[in-house]
Amino acid sequence: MDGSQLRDLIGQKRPRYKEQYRLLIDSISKKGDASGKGDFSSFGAYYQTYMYAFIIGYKLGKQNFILQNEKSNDFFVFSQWSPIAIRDYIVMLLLNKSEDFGFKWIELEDASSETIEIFVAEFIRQMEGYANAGFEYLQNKWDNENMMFRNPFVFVKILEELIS
Amino acid sequence: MGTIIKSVGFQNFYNYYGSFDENTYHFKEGINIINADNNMGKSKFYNGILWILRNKVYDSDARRMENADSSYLKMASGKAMNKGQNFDMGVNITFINDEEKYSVSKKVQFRKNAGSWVTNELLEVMQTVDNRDIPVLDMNDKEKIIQKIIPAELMNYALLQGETMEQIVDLSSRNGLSSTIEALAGINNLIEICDLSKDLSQRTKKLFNDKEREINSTSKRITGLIQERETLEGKIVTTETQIEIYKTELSKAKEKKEILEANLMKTKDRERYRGMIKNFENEIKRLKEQKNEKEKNITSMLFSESCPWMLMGMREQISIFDKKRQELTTDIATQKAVSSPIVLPEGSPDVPSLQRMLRTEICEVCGRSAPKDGEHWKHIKMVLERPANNSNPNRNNFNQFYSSIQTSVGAFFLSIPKIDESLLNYREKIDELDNLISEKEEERENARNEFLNAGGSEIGSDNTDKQTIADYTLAEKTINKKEDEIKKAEDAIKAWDIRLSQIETEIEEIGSSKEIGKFRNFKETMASVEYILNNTKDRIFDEILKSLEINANTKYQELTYGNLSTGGRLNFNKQADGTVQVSIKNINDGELTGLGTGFQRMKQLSIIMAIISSKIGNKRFDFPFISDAPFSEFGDNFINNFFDIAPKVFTQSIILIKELYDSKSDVYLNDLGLKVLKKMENGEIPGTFYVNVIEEKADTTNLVTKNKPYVN
Repeated sequence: MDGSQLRDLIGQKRPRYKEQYRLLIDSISKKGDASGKGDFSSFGAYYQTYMYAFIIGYKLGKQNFILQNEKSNDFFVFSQWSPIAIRDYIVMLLLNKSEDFGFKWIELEDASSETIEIFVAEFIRQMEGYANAGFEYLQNKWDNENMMFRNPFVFVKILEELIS
Repeated sequence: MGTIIKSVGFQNFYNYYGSFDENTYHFKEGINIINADNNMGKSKFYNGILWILRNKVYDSDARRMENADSSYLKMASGKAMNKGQNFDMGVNITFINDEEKYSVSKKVQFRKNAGSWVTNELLEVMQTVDNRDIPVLDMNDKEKIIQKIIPAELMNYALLQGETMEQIVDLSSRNGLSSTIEALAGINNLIEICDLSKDLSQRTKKLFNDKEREINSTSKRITGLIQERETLEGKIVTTETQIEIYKTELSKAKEKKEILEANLMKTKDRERYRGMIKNFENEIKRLKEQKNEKEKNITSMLFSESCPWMLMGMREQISIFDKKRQELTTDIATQKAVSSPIVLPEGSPDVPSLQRMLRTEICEVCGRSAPKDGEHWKHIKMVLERPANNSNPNRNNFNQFYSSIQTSVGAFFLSIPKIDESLLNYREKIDELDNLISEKEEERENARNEFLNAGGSEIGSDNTDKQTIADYTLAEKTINKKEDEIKKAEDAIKAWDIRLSQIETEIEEIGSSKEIGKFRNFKETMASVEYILNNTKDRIFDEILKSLEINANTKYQELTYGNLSTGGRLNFNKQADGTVQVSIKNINDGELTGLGTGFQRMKQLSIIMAIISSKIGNKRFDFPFISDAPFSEFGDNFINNFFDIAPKVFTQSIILIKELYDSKSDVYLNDLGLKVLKKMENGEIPGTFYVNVIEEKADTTNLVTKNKPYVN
């Protein structure tokens, strides 16, 4: 298998989010007008919300995996997310942690296609873990510090809080 | 004669919520000041006086007088109405006239009936005799007592409302001028005699013509000339009548122009401020859109491909990735090295041969023995057991994938460190826009206040002001047209007069009967009488106007005294139609233009003072002078001068003013207010001093005004 096949394999996947965050995601995605500014600050597209939540989870170093019986929803196929460079950055971040979830790069070079399938599934599961941890964090903010979402800089502030 | 208002009280009247006891102002001779900011009851107070005296109120929204009986719902206190219970609204004035004390109350009872208000009006007039209040019951008597407060003929000069001030002194209209001259000189009898002499002169002229025709009936030439003379005289009379009509039309147009001109400055101001407000609003809208656009863009800046804010603080991940790629390259190389097979030369022994050699312990390549576990035997075994060439033909190759990822994110290595700066710039830009918006909003607020001060109303009066400007232009055109028509008609009369003289000469040359002489004398005597009387009337008019001009100038100089920019000199200029235009001349007798509304109003105020003091000689005006916001365009100097001069002209004045107010001061007075108060406390200025306050914030319908008497 070559690199483009692996890219395609990952790209076909539809990362999921937990049903419990649907309202939140609706509220902070595409609310108001198309460019993402209504009563509350919001993102232009749902997958951007997902990418943002992933970064939050990643920065927190926390994952919130979707359990087997837990209700969840699929997102847009990963290959369609944009901007491509940010999407690739997320791939890079996960690849940087692949050893943590049991896959050395060198082993992947020799792995069978079945193993690669398993790797890709785990790769996406890891992504979901971080993203849902991000949603959990945002949900908490939404519930307890709702007014801050009226500030157009809210999503910057949340990131800044995690850095400082 | 003369009136002093002792008190004015209100009950649930506009802002004056509550009983008469809570809302009564006690007044004295001298100046009685009620100092109040906008919306604190100045105009409402003035409306109370108007209601009693004229049964009208001034609607500041519509900017016109309205009949009080159609405005009761507007006049009633919003707070009283909101309570929803029955209540009474009223205004009371107590006053002394000719040593008699009177009390006049107008009231309206508001009763709730099936969810609507039903009103019932009452007029209560009392006269105090021997300390007893006796009700006056006859309606005519009640009206007569109300007239005692300020007589109707003086009301124009005694009731002054800032907005309408310019319309009060009416020298530019024939009626206005006549009534002013009459108010000053009482020459109605003379005017009647003038009219009578004109009539007699006409009759004698006709008699003379009839007689002359009769006497000269045989001379065709003379009767022809008489006929021509009669025709010309007829034309002259008709034309003179036409000129009178033109003059009336001219006067009306001038009157209209004068009224419009009075408002025009305000109208132009309003138009200017309206334009400014519009521009500021457009600017604010544009800036808000810019800000909105920037704010909307914040989330997309998180995903910016050149500098994605979302990746702040994550630059090291690119280095980690790069390191992992290098490690992978090393790992792959090592793995290849370890797994490379030992390749034997052509003709080397095959596996069965090697196995036999190990069994027989003889190397078949060199023929020497190779004892078990010895050096040669082990070499044969190593060759036998060499790793098979097991390179995986299906091996993955993800390097290109990693490489493409690294290429894709590589630019972020340089841009992530710039995120802080980018964010800071972005925030600063939004702050700059915020500051600009605040600046523009403040400027808009200032323009709005100026607009309101210029009589602007929240209700769209845009069209009214445009109409005013259009009407003004039309009035100017009409004036030009009528003046032209008058001139043409007068020129025609002059030509006819010349011809008439020629006719007279011709008739004389032909020779008319001597008998006609006595009729001619009679006619000429009556014409002389008419001429003398008219001249006398004109001379009296001129003298009165001259004296008024001198007196008005004295007052004008007193009022503008100490002002840095000279206010010039008032010039009374008699017009062709007999009316008077008052203009302001500079020291070189040129028209002084560019003076603010303050000077224009001061001009009017001077004339009012002059009229009042001309009428009563050296004495003061014996009736209350009541004025609402006359100073809204005046500077401190004007106001100071007014307070010095007013007691010399008016026995009592009640002045509603906001120019002494300062909401930030504990006592609600600015420096000028404190100065005036001190003069009052010292007795330098006689009178009373009240400040109106709003104790609880509320919308305009629920406002409650309370007064604080500082000197009473």
